[in-house]
Amino acid sequence: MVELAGTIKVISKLLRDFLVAEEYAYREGFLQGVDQKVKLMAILLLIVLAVSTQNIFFLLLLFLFSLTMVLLSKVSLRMYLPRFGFIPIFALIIVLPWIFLMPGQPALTFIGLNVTKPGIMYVITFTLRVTACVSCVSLLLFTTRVSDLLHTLKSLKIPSPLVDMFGLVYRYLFTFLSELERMLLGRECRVVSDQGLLKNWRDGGNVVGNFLSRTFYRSENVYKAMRARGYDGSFKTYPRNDKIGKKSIVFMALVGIMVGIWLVTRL
Amino acid sequence: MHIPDGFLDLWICAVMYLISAMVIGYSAKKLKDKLDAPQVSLIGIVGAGIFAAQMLNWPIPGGTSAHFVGGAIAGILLGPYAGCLSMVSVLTIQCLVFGDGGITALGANIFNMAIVDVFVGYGIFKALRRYNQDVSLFLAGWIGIWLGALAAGVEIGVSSIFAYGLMTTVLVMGIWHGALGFIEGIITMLAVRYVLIKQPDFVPLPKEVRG
Repeated sequence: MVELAGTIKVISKLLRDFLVAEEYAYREGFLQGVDQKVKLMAILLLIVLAVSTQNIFFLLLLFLFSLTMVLLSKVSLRMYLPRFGFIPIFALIIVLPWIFLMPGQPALTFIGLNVTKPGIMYVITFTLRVTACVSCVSLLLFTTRVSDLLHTLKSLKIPSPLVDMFGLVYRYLFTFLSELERMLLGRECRVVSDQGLLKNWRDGGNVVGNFLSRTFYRSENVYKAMRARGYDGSFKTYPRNDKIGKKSIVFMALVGIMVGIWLVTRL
Repeated sequence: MHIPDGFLDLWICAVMYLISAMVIGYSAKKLKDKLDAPQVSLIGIVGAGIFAAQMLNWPIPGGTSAHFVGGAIAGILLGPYAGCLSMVSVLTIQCLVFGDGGITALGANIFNMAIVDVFVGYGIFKALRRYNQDVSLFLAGWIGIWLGALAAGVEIGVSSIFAYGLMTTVLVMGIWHGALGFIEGIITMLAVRYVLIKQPDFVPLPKEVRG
């Protein structure tokens, strides 16, 4: 059988993270008021700038820029930073050996190995780049409603059936997480002794198979219910703020300044 | 296996977006006659189910646990084209709503988990099913995810912003996901066998799979 406690922990974390982000997306902050298309394209541009530079100053500035946006958007840093903190730590652990491996002038000696200056610079640059990128992506997660995101994707000419599929995945994920949790709890209640790893795995496979069967079964019912409510093959999405207001212009100007700094650092 | 932003060079991101967009377009074209409202709802809802099932914690000896990706399962139960679109939906929502995987790396992540995993898994199942269904399912899950991981290793390895060389990244991803893929293979075998044997009426399998 699959590990119940671990699974419920994962499901709870996913739901908690999502609900926290969704709550902030409904606040009246700075980025929440920016046109969604402008926000998505600008954040993508900022990430592209981060990926295409080696300049530590720019990467640090970009990270501070994203934190400033977080504060202006009334998002708590206590909620924001832990959400993505493990990714930069993971990146740091992966590239840390390069403080020894990178050839160059030794900066210091540690347990008989030379720590080189280019090695230190590389590790700092890489970790800072990943940090700045995930921080920028998290801006999008914390300040964008899913309905707005789907509308933006449609307005960016992503084919409608594909965006409808995204919407369905999002809409029914929570239904299925709840169903999965019920199935696992029901199964746990009926098992009174440890069955051993092999039997656990076989039962786990049956649970997944049964769960997938229910998924298919439900899709038919969902389609009938959607038809009954007037679904004609495409979901309607509606813009919340379809004009580029003051906040959008200010955000574009700020991003423009970041682009300018990026250009200067490349000279 | 989701690659975050900052691990891949921009040109690799662009190439992977292009390749993924072409395969998605081709899949949609192959489904054109069938990509109607019921099919869209089936693909989206099965995607939600696979996303939920990815949360399951599978205990492995040593006190740790693993998760599965489900690309081969999607390819076998929905057919390769619909399975690919289903996994694309899952990965896009994971990226844009839950922050799993980077925006610039989304094309690469789609290629690894929604294209390689799905099409290779389906291809192996189709080719070997006539010899032994269980073995074909196991190999579909295992090799599908293993090749997907190797593709990720190549993408990261050829990126100049990642200092480790191609051999290192491919070796690390190959060994690690070769071991984890074993679990994916077992789950794929157990879950799909259950569906095919116990509840075939619930699942409108593609005609290639029905045989």
